[in-house]
Amino acid sequence: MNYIIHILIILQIYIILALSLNLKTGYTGLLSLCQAAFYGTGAYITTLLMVDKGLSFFAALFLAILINIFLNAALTTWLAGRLRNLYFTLATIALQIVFFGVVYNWQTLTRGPFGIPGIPKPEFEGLAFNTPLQFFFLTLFFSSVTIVFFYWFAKTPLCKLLECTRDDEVWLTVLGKRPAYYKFVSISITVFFATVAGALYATYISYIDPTSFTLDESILVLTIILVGGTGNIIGPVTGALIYVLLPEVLRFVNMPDSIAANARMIIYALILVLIVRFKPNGLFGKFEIRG
Amino acid sequence: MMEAILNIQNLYKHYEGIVAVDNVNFSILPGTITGIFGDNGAGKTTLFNLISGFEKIDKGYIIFKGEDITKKNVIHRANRGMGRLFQIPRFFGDVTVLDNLLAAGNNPEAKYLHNYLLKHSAIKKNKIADIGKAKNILEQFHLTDKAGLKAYELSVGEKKLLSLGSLLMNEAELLLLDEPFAGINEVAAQQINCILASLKKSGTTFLMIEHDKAKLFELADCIYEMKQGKLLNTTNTHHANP
Repeated sequence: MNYIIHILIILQIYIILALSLNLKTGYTGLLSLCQAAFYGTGAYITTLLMVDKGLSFFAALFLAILINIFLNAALTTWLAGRLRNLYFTLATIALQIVFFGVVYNWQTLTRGPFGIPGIPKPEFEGLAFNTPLQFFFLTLFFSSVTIVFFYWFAKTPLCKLLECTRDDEVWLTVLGKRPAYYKFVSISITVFFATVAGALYATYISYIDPTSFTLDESILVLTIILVGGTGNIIGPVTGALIYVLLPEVLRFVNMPDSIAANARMIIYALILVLIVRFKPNGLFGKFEIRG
Repeated sequence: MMEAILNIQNLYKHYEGIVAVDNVNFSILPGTITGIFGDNGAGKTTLFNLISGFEKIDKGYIIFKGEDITKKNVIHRANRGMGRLFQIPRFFGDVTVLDNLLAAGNNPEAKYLHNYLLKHSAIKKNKIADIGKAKNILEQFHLTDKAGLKAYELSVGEKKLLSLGSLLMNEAELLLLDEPFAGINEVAAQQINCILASLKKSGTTFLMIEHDKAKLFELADCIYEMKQGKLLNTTNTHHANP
């Protein structure tokens, strides 16, 4: 039972991550590979505030969101204002690598490769989320809020302006609107939800180290929205379902341990190739991801 | 005497020794159509880029509605009422025709996320007003039945109309039209012709680059020829033929 609950918790964390990236990459057209840096920054700041400063989960999460927006959203918006398309994507890879370098080497703060163990579980008004089932309900709450928020947001005039930013920034400027502002809004919302996902991950696993937030993780989240599709809720959720549940399904296939890991990667890659070739919008996507 | 809506004074631009716009002076009265023709490379598009703020000028001044906008950016000029239609029409391709127009509308509260909680009714009210305005434009431009289509699905002529409609949604008073009749069929050209004439009647001002001299002479109140960066002669079409 705990195994299934564990899978569901991880699935919900990836749904939050995928939906937040969907806004930045799908709606706003900012193809980026630094989602794990946003997610990791959220995890580290929440952890440090809880472990070192003794803040409660929700207070730490609130501050982590503000700090993460101040650090990552501002920096990424600055990059997005100066670089276009593939150049922006390359800059986000650099951002991701810098993030990894910082958390790996700043040992006095992050304890580097040794990681931070013993992260306390969240508590709210005396209600502790200690057991997997309790934690499941906490992640269910956050993933539901995320889904409802993005469902509502997609219908707002503000979201339409993010789509216009993706389609033609020059034309938006000619119409008197500021693309940089809309990019900031999009990136900030992405950072907000990535921080939530990071905080949930850190407090659920009770331990974080830099290897959980690498470029591979950013590629995985991008792959989730590539496969599921962007521009709606169902696409990223489906992508997350496929990429979180597939490894678990493959466990039941009797494959020798020596080839299981490689076979899994081949299957992932095959799915991606087939989707890109035959359904460039992803399984349920409204529009193609542009780089 | 009526005050000019746009006044260009001693405008000069050069690129590595080549003079693109050479000491250009002219002014445009409100509610008129001013045309510019000239060979490729004469400096017409550079002149448009300078007026609309896409390029920095080397020397000279641009006065728009009494304000010196020489050093102002594209967004400032657009918000003061200057619109530009590009030769290859620009639009938001993956967004519906109606949403293209709504995006161009003026709903200032809608740009701030917190206003959706604090000023929800103002956003709704503005949106309703914008939808009404957009529907009027679609009707005027015979695009009502295309409102739900994605913009990339329109024909070139319809895309030009959509661009023009978007500028009107943004309440542009001076429209810079770069080859509005290029690449479209005669029916669409006739439609744009009628729309420009009707907009002119309602007080919109136009500055137009056009290769088709006959079209220019048919529509414009005042015509300039541009050659090697200079405005050579001025022709009032009421007294001259192509």
